[in-house]
Amino acid sequence: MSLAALQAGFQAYILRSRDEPGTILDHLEGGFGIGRERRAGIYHHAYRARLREALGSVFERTWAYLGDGEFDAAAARFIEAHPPVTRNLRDYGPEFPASLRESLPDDPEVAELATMDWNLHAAFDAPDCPRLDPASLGDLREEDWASARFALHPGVSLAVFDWNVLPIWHAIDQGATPPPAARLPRPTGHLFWRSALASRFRSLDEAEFTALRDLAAGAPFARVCEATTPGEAGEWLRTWLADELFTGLSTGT
Amino acid sequence: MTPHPSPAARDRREPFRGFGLGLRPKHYAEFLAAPQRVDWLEVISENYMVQGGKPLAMLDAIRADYPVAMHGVSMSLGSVGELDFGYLAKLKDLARRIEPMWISDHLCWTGVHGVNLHDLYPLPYTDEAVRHVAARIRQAQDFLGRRLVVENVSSYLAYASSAMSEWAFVSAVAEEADCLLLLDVNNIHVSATNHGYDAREFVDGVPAHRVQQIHLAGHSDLGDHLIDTHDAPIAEAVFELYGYACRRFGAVSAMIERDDAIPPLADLIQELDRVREVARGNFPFDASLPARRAERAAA
Repeated sequence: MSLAALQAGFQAYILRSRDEPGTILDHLEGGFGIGRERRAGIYHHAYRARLREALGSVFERTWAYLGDGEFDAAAARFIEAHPPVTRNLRDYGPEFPASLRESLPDDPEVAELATMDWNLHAAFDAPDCPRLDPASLGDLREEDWASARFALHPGVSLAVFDWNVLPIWHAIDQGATPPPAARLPRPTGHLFWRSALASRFRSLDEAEFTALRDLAAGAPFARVCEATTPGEAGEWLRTWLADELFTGLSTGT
Repeated sequence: MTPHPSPAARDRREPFRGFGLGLRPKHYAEFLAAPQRVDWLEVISENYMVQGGKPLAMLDAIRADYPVAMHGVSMSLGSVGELDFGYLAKLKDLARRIEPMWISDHLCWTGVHGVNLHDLYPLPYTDEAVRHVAARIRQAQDFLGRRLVVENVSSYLAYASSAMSEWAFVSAVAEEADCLLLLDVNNIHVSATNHGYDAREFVDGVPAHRVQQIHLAGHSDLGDHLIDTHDAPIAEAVFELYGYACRRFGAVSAMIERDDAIPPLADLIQELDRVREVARGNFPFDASLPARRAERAAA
């Protein structure tokens, strides 16, 4: 058997259910009291255990919320459908929240909690970029403000939640019993970012969420100002700069 | 292509660097707070192959005080198909940033056809596999501009097609690729137990002048086989085998890998002192290495 056929056959064995070993076992050897099926089975099990551990590390709060049994079952379903394609195990699992939304339709807060876990993880690992120095805004001419656009740091992300996942997250973080899942009065935007090497988040009111969403889509700051009062836009800008959300500023079209 | 070495250039190993530990996030604060009795640190390359954030900031700060070796788990040197040059480019970027003593990865394959299974699968010990993996090691060495240090993996299965011993395979690959070796003494013990060979034959069978580094770690005993779990102290049998390796290889940089159930740093440093003791009984070395490093740090 060629090396290529051996690797393809063994990989297929790892990815399939253990009940369908195929013919690869014929190319393995047993001995020393352990048959070849058990020997191969060690790798079959280790593959799943390692991915389960990786998911548990990134989706730590989701795991705590679901408990071992439910999280294991959800992770197992996900792992069977998503063989890892990246070299770095830290990148495994961005589709896990969507998979939870599908597999737990009666508990939609779980997928939102998992989205929080992933966005915080992504902010933690995001590239280092120079942050926009608030002092540089002083150099801006009056006429430049009309076209000024801010570039968001790659660790910044937005998500809209229908459920009270923030109090749930905080309770788990404090080791307390999380409150029962409750639908929010209205869908609420949330901001995730990294500041001083730590991942952070907060909820946004509708106007600030719309403003950040528009900036992320490339809208000039002037458009944000049109939708609100100058006082409020100035207040937001001060907060965003202090939180180091921006990496740069461009003017012109 | 990397040229074959002339006899005079045969021993191009890095000099002995003493005794190290794997750097784990749990111990960042202690390494930053005070000099520790550790000569050097090994990092899992992939954990720092990110574009920013805390891990890199911590590594930069700790690297200022400690020599570092980069140890990867995803190069998949033994896979059929193209090497992942995107991965190698990121690895090279990290090497440029932290200037490691050396870069290591495993003599194994981790997946094919665009899938990475994140496990270290053994290769069949055949001439075809020797040629294949040696050519890829040479390619990777050419790309990285340095010799690679390649580690023996622990294994639980054997292929019917294997036509030589594992140590004959490791030696043939190292000669053909002109690479260096990272001998994982725990892996040798685990594989020897699982496959019923004498671990000392392995140690005796590899080219001593290529052994750049030694790994030590704990394993789990599952009754009829051992699993390389890195979640426990080094077993007595592995200390014994390490002593045997010290007698055969002389002064080789050694370190402890601990990846799970990670104890306080002080416990690992104590275990590292035991490694030093075993080494001291078998080859002379300058025991003041860490003390000198601590002095430099204080200055």
